[in-house]
Amino acid sequence: MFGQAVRRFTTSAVRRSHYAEGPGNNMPFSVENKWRLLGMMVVFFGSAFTFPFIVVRHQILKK
Amino acid sequence: MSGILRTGFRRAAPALRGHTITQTANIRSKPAKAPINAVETTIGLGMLSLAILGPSGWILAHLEDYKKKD
Repeated sequence: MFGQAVRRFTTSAVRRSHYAEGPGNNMPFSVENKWRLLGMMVVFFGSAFTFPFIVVRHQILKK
Repeated sequence: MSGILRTGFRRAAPALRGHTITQTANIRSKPAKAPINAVETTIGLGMLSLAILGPSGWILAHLEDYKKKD
């Protein structure tokens, strides 16, 4: 009895929302193309990891 | 002390009994929607490793140059 009620609720929620739902659609980035995703990850993690090293280089070059 | 021993034995009793029925869930999964073969895995891991090790390694390798550029 509860199962049927829950199913009705989730069906209407999907029909009502205009956002894509489900696996791969609940993130602020797209996983549609795996190579574009790889590029995004390289830029995201690479820039964050490199930034402190750039700061160190800048500080050493300053003095 | 005795309370700890009593609680320990009370909790371990079902396992020590030896006649318990182990319940398992039948977990099934479908094959991957976008399978990634060995070549693609190598490219992905390689590029991520280069993204992390490349620029930082280059900067660390040229540290003496930056110190000498005074």
